[in-house]
Amino acid sequence: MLKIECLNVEIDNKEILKGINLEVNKGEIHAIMGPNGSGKSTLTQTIAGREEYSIRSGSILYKGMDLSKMAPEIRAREGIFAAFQYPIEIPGVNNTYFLRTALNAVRKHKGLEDVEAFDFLKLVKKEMKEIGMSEDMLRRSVNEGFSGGEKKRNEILQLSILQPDLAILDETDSGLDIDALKIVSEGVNRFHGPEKSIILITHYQRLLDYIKPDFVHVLSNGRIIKSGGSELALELEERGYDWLNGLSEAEGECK
Amino acid sequence: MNRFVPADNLIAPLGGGTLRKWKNGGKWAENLRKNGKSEFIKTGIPSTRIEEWKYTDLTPLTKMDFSFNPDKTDPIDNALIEKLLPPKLSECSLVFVNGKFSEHFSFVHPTKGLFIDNVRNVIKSGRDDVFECIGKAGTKPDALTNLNRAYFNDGAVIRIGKDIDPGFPVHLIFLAVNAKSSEMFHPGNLIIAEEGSKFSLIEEYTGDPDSVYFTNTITEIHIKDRASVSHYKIQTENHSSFHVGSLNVIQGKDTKFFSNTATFGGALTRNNISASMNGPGSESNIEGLYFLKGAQHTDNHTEIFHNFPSCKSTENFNGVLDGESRAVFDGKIFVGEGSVQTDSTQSSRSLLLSGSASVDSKPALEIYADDVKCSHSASVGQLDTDSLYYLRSRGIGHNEAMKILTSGFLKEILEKFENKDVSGKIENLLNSEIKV
Repeated sequence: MLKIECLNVEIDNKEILKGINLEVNKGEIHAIMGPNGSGKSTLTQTIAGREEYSIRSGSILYKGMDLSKMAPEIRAREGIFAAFQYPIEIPGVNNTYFLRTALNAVRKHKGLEDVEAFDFLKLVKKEMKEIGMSEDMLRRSVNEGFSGGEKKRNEILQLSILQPDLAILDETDSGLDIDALKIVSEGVNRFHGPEKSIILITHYQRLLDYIKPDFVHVLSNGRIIKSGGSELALELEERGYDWLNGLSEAEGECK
Repeated sequence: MNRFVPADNLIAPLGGGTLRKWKNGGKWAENLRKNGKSEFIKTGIPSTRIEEWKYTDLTPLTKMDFSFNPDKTDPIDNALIEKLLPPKLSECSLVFVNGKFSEHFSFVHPTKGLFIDNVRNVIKSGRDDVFECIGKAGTKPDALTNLNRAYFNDGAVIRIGKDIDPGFPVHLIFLAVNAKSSEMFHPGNLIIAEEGSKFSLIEEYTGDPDSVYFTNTITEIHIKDRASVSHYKIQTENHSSFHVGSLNVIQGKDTKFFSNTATFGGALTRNNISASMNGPGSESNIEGLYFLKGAQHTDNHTEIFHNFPSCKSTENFNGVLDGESRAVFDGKIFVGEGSVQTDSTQSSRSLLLSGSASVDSKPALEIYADDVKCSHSASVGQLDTDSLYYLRSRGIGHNEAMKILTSGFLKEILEKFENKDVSGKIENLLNSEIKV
C-alpha cells in the first residue's frame, strides 16, 4: 500500500525528516510515536501532499504510484486521508456541502455517479449518530465554533464518509476526554478492514488501548529509531523516550 | 483642484425652474425641490479633496450630457420590461422603470395598518405633509442629497401603523431600460415605522446591459420607539452605470435596525449608510458584501451614531475583488457624550483575487463617553492557504476549492441576512459570478 524509502523532507530549508523508511501493507495498523518536534506531523503532511514540505531525497510510493508529483486532491481521490491534528475552521462554507462536494469528487475520480442529496443526508446522519455528533453540525460552517472534540469527530465523520484506503490519523486522540476517545476509536475500528490500512500518529499509549496496532515505530529527530510490535508502546509508556537516546537507525542507514 | 466641482450639467435638465411645472407639486415637495436645487447650485459636486470623497471621484459625472425624462413620450414596451424585471421577492412590490412608478408592474397587497403609495401620487392627492419629516434622519444633506431633492418626484412612501407587523416584506424594484442618452434617476423613498411595528424592505436596483445612467437614490427610514426594521439592498446595475445610494435612518428608543447590502453592479457605486440611535436600548446591525471585477469601484460609507446610553451596534463588510477593481470602506462610529454602556463592533475584510485590485479601508471611532466597549478590525488579503489545502486534502480540486472559499467568504455575511428569499437570490448571483 505505502512504501517510504530514505525520505528526506525539509520546510523553509530546514531538514525535518532525515531518512525515513516505512512500509505499510494492506490491512495493517501502524502506530508512530515520538516526542514533540520529532517530525510526526511533517510525515503526515508530506504523505497528504502539503506543498510547503519539499522532498529533498527518497521516495514515497502509494499503490505503486510516485506521490511526489501528485496534487493533494489526487492523492485524496486515490484513497489517502489525513485526519488533521488541528482541523481548519472555514467560516461561510457549509459542512454538509463540503462533505458532499468531497465525496462526489472522490466518486467522480472512480467513475461513479454523484450521490443524490437525499441519499447523502441519510448516509451522513447515520454516520453522525454512530460517532455521537449532533445533526446541528450539518447546518454549521466547517469546524467553525466546534469544540476540540467536535472537530476531531468531524474528521472521523469525513473518514467514514470518504472511505479511503489509507488513513493517517495525526494526534486524533489529543484533546479528547475518555468517552470521546472511546467513540472516536470505535469509529476508526469500524473503518478498519482487510483492505484498509491505518497509520496512527500519537504521543500517548492510551489510544492504543482502543486501537490495536500491528507495528509500533518510534520517531525521533526525523528518523525511525526503533520498530516493534504493540508491546513496544507499553514499554514506551513505562520507560518514556529517553532510554532510546543514542539509538541510531532501526533499519539500514540511508545515504 | 477645488473642493467642489461645478456640475451644471446635472441640474440643467430642470431648466430655469423646479419640477413644479408638472402641476403636481404640493407645498412640502416643492420646498424640498427648491432648497435642493439652490443648495446644489451653490456647491456642485464634491471633489476628492473633500475627506468623505477622498477615494471616490465623481467628476466624470460632470462631463456627461445628462437628460431627465420622467414623462417620456415613447413608452417602453411592456414585454421588454417583463423580460428584464427581476423575480419578485414579495407579494407586495412597487416597480419603478427609469425612475418612474409603474402601476402596471406593481402590486400592493392591501393590509390593515400599512400605507403604501408612490411619491407622485402622494403629492397629487395633496397628502404631501408626510414629507415634513424628510431630512430628519441622516446628517446634514450633502451635495448628492441636494441633487436628489431637486428632482424629488418619485419613490415609495410607506407607513407602518403602531404595533403592526404586515408579515411580508415590501419589494421595491428600480429598473433602468433603454436609457441610451445618459439618463438620471433620483428616487426618494420614505419609510415611517410607527411605535412597536415590524417591517422589512427590499430595494433592488438593476438595469439592462446597454443603458448608461446615473442612479442617485435616497431612502429615509424613521424607526419609532420599540419598532424593528430590516432593510435589504441588492444592486446589480450594469457596468456602465453610476450608482449613489443613501440610506438614512433615525431610531427611537428600544428599536432594532438591520441593514443588509449586496453590491455586484455599477461602474461606480457609493453606498452611504447612516444610522442615528436617538433613544436608549436600541440596536443597529449593518452587514454588507460586494463582489467586484473589471474596473468596478465600490465605496461603502457608513456612520453609526450612538447618541444615547445602552445602544448596541455591529457592522460587518466582506468583499471580493478581481481584475482592477477597487473598493473603499469608510466606517465611522460616533459615541456621543453620556452614551454609556455602548457596545459596538466593526469589521471590514476584503479578499483580493488579483494583484491589480485594491482596497482603501478607513475605520474611525469617535468616542466622547466612558464605560464604552468599541472594537474594529480591518483586513485585506488573499485566500487562506490552510483552508485551501484542507479542502484539497479531501479530494476537492484546486479551482473548485478556490470557488468554495471565495463564496464562503461572502456567505459569512449572507448567513446573517434573515430573509431567506433574499439570501437565496444573492447566493445564486454569487454562484454565477464566481468563476475561478
